Amino acid sequence: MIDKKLNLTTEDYGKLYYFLYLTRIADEISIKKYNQGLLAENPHSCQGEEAVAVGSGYALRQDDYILPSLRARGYFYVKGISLKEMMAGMYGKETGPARGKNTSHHMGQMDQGVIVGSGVIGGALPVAVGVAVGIQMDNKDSVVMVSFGEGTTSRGDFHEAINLAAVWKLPVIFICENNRWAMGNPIHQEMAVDNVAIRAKAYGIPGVTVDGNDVLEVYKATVEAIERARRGEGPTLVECVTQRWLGHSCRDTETYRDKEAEKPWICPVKKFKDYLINNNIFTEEKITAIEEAASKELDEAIQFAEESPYPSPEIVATNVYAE
Amino acid sequence: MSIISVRNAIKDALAEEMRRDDKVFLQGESIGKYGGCFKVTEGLIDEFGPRRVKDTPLSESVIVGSGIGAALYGYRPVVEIMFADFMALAMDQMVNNAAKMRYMHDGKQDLPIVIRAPQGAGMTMGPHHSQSVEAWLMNIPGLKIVLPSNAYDAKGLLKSAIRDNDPVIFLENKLLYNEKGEVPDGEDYTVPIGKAKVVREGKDLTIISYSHMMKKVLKVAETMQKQGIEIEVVDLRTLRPLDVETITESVKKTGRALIVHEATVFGGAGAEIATTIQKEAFDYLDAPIERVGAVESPVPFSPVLEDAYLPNEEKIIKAVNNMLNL
Repeated sequence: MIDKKLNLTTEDYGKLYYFLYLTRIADEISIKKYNQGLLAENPHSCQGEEAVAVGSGYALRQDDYILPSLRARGYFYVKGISLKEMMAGMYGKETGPARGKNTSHHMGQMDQGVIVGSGVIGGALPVAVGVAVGIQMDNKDSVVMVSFGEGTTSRGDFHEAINLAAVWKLPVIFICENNRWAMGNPIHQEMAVDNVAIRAKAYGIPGVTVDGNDVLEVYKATVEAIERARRGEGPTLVECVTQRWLGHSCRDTETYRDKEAEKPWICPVKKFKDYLINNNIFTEEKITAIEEAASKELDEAIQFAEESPYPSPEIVATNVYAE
Repeated sequence: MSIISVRNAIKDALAEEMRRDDKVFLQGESIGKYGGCFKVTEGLIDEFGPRRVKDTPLSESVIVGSGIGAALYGYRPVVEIMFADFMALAMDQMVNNAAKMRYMHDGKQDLPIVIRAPQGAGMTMGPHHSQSVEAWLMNIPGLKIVLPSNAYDAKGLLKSAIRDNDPVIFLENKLLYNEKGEVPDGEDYTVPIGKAKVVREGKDLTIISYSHMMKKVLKVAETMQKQGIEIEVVDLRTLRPLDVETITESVKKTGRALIVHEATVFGGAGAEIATTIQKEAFDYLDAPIERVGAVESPVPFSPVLEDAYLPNEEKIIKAVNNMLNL
């Protein structure tokens, strides 16, 4: 079966569901392991937001780049970053990113199309824009996608980066994962506008708001933005509205929010699963098979991470400068 | 040999490196047709065009940050920050991205970016256009910090900086731009980063300095010689990595070390240099290590106040005399 409108094949649907489901269960197991005291890294859950990274990231080509936000694990999976390496990173093991020198949150390698991120919210946006400067100077039609939360749009770096990208017509896709919470700040404490996409107007670029819980809608909007960027017409701001089910991180007691008032939660994984079954794209059995494959990959990654050694303390000051 | 200004030495280094390697490009505020605030890049856009001499919006963070991205992608950007004071606006990019990028890839990623900026007082430009900022940057593993004092070094060091695979902060003292010096014609020379130079030999006391203060230090050495005092002068040229060996050898020979820099003394580069000397040459010291720098205030505006703020020959001579019990 081929969806002509979206240009997606059955194989694509299978992968999209695989990545959505993997993102969910990897998140769940990370929290469990953290609560058992096994992880060095504090997970920042993306439960409820999986469709944003998976839907937008899936629209990227192999020679495109992504700079994921802290809460957008799906990008790593769609870009083919090793789940084993990522998990080992959460444990702080030698087999993790940069032998334990970097977190898994901000891991990246240019040859895999993943740009190293920053723990400083917004600080990565100018870097993503700079990769697009290189692409433009090479006359290539690759694009750079950068993801961030709605809270990031309060930072000066958001303005500087999106403005330069607009003025120079750089091939950048700004993906705002609007989960309506900036740590403990609800959105109305971050901005006096109703949505983030409206800000695009001030930069002279298109801004769209989509249902961030619908993986196909995210994918569709992103494809349009990417095509525009490849034509040399510059950046687009894509706002994906979603929900943050859990706290900011595993240390968040969430005393500041009334979750019942935010419900119902729309589960992006279930939503897509229902779509696949209701449209006779996959049977229940096929869905189960995909889920089992994802669970197997995750189990192997966890085992790899747990069996890996910690780095030797002797490497602490290596590779600070070229050696 | 030609006698050229530091400004033109820097411009020549940029142009020659851009001709040598098409991955080298420039970006900054009004560096194209305008030629840059201090005219360092004047005319380069005519030869290299707007693709390689990029005028950016007034956005220091993205000037540096996008340079970092372009360097990740494989280019070798040389970015200009109009005044070193404005580096405060790009500090996150310099400290959290440029400096850490190699480490966060465990060495598997080069980050060849040069961040140039003019700094220093003496032009009555007031508190926000006159600071010497090198000490802000010294406590950051991953950055290299270069401060030339003359045309020859400026050209050779900038070429080394552009060819370096790590981020280099290249601080140009604005009073040096018009200072002229000998530079070889048509020779592709470089000056290594991390190597200090003994520019004057002496046996009684070592003055360790860099950048514009070298001019004042050399005048002091000249003056003192008339009184029979032989001062050895070390031009550091690079603050990080610090050339411990050259400093140590000189101090072991003279037994006295005076550090002179334009930046304020407290928490300044001199503190690190003094500690290094104490560790490496303690038994050779015949006097406590001394430092001369600016007074502990923001850089003032009025010429009278600015003169009072800055280190000068009189202050340096006073320190020398104290150390020699003269």
